[in-house]
Amino acid sequence: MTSANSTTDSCGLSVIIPVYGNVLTLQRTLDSVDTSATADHGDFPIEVVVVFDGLIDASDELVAAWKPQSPRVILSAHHIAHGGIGHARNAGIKDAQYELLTFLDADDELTSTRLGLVRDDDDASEEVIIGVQSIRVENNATIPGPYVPTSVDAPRRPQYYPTSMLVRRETMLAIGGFDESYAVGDDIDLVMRLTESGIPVRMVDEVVVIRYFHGANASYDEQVSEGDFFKAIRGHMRRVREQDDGIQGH
Amino acid sequence: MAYKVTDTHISHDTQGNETVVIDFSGGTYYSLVGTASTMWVLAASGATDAVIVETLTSRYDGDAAVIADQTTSFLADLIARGLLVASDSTFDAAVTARVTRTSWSEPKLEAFNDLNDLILMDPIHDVDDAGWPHPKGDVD
Repeated sequence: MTSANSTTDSCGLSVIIPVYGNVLTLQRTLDSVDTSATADHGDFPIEVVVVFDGLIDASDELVAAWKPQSPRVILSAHHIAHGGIGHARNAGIKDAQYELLTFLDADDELTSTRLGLVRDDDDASEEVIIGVQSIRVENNATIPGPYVPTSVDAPRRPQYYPTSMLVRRETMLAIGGFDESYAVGDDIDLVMRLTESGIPVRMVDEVVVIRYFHGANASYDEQVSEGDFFKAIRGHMRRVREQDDGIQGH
Repeated sequence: MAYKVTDTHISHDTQGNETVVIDFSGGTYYSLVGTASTMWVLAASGATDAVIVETLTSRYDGDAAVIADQTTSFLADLIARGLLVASDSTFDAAVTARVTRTSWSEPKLEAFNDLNDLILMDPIHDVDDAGWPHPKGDVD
């Protein structure tokens, strides 16, 4: 990552939204932040950091025309050269003005529950909070892999969504941000590296994002998704083994 | 008996001499290196016990009885863990040609359980708008 804004404010939340060809869904995504800010009982400011990942389309005009109803919500838009989702998220981290960060895909919706987690957040804690996703399917789409169905008798479990985390910018900078070599698995990789670094990751069973499957999600490329997943797992195993070897070597 | 990968909840990937297997139902992931990886590739290709033992004893330097015993035990462990199941599928014999000759070492499987929360996958097809823990049709 490149050097970051050193004048962040500790009492607010920056919502980083990478945009690449999301003109059909972006309005809904932006409005979800506005609606959540209105529903939430907090009073901290919310910065929507839109990062255009190198594609010029109508989403630019859509963002320029977007006027949030909640006085808590401010908008900042940034254009960068195309570099992929991790690159765009890292650019958003660099430009965010608040110390507490969260991420939102430009085809998903943020819930007010996520803002409630901010109110419960301890300013001094380096803890990373990850919530649960709720799934909606539209356009008669199917749910893509790698969500392999298990037995119908299996106990129901929460579906943690790594990118929906609440995390301090300082933490993201210290860990080097998202690995930009991933096409879609940068979020899984990041959580693994956070865990390896000893940073506490708390999974909360609250729905913090409504995730849409609409037939055009990047995760429909099963080969890429699976490849990134295994890449993250292999990277994690390598680092764990190196740590173990280092411990045994001392 | 022929084998195949349990296709309901297991993903696997082999690169070089290591196979990584992910069990999405339990959240455990595994590393199989060397002879263990070779055995996995053969079993995943639909090989029978007999073919696997024959291939390994002919391609590895070692005591044939030891290779056969350790192979049988290891395959049983993979079955017990739910990673492989019995199959009547046909075997792609071309896979045996890719087994390179080397010294035999006891196949070992390394299991990791540190990422359960991230790996565990439940059927999300029937989660209602309210998300977990509200199943579809839950009126509460």
